Amino acid sequence: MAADGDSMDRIVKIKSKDGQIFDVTLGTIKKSKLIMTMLEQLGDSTDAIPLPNVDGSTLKKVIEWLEHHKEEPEPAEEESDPLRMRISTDISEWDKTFFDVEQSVLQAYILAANYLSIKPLLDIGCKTVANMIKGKTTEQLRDLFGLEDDFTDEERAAIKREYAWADDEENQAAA
Amino acid sequence: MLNGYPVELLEAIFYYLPISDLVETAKVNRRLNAVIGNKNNRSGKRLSGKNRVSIFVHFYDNLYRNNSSHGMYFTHVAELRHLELNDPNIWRPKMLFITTCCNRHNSLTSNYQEVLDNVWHPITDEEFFRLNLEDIPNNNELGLDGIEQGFWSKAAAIQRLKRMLFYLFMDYGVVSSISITNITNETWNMLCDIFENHHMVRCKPSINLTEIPKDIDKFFSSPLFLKGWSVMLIIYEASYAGIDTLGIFDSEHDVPYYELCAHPKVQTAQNLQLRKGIGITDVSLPRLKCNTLYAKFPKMSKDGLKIFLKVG
Repeated sequence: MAADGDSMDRIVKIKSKDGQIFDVTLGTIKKSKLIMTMLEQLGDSTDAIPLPNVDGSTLKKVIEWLEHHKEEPEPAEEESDPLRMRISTDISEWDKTFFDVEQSVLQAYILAANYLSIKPLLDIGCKTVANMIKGKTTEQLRDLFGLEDDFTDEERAAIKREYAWADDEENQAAA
Repeated sequence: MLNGYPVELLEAIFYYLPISDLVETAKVNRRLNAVIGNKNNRSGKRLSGKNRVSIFVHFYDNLYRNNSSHGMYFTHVAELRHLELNDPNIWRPKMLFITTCCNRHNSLTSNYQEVLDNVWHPITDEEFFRLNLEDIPNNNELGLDGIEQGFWSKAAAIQRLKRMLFYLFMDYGVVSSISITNITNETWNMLCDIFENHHMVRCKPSINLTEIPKDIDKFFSSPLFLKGWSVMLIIYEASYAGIDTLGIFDSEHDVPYYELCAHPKVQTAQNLQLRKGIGITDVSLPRLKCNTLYAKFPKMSKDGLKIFLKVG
């Protein structure tokens, strides 16, 4: 699809799982590979594009994110330096605020970014969760994410044996 | 909520985690264990080495940096060694980083990395960390127990060192300890961003500084020190800091020395070792709330010591 200024002003209708319809410009929505693909398939149709995997409140926030980032260019090429590729702390203050939400909401954003194929949004979401995990012990992670220790005694013993190579008493004491 | 993510998204999240965090996450519950432990997944492959290591990084200072009349020569700027804690019988070679003696020569030569590569053949991280000491051909003639790599600048050498540290933490194994010695302010400025960008260190590091940090608050706020220190040595020799023990040694810099000792983080030290403790006075010493003091020549009176002992 052409990406000139005029076409970027074109209004696209998208419809959430719960039937809410949003009007967005092509310039705003262009980072979603799913929607761009669907638009190519639909041609000149003005029907709202159904997005059955995203609810209205999440879609509204995703549009807000896209609107804020719409002027940012796509990265020219894939980063090849591993030091830069795997930085998880390079999140702008605006994005930190955007993702400073309850875990269920954060998950909804990430799942929506994945479904809509919005890679930059997905990357920031994954980095946010990774940063939540970093430096925490197993028990702290269970508390943080509300997860049960569902291992049987036999499984727990097996896990202990399996990861014995990583045990470090000093680190555990420090944590 | 981690259970609500499909496997491919969990893998995308785990991509940013060092191995030590992967291990902790794998022990949370059945599902996360199944995802992380699956050797067909990227995270499972990263764990499959089952390595646990200690890391030692030592920096060298260029002796003739301020001498404008010397010719260019190559010299060591840093070395990196790691010990396999789960198999102490394995001896790994160290990596020696070599660069020009000072920055005066960089502008002439920086475009010719291939010239250096012909002398010091490049090696990937994966290749290097698979080597055993006996794999190093005839390097002992030079008194080396490692592999040398040449760079046109200290910055380029330290960038490579950072990539190797990153590889150790992220893809090689659990890092149980890290010791970094002989750090100047210039070196720290080149090195510190790797800890800020990746938050990958879970252990208490051992640090030996050869200069008082220019910005003490910024220095102490580095994520490298998230868990405190195992040992903090300042100027020439060591001691211990929690900081569990802090060693502060001979220095001519009275004021910054005092500022360092008076820093709230330093005041949490469990043990404090002073030698010729210039800057530590009757007034400042009692503010250090450490449990143990090793003092050889602190600049304080017996009365000051009494005050300290009451507080400590």
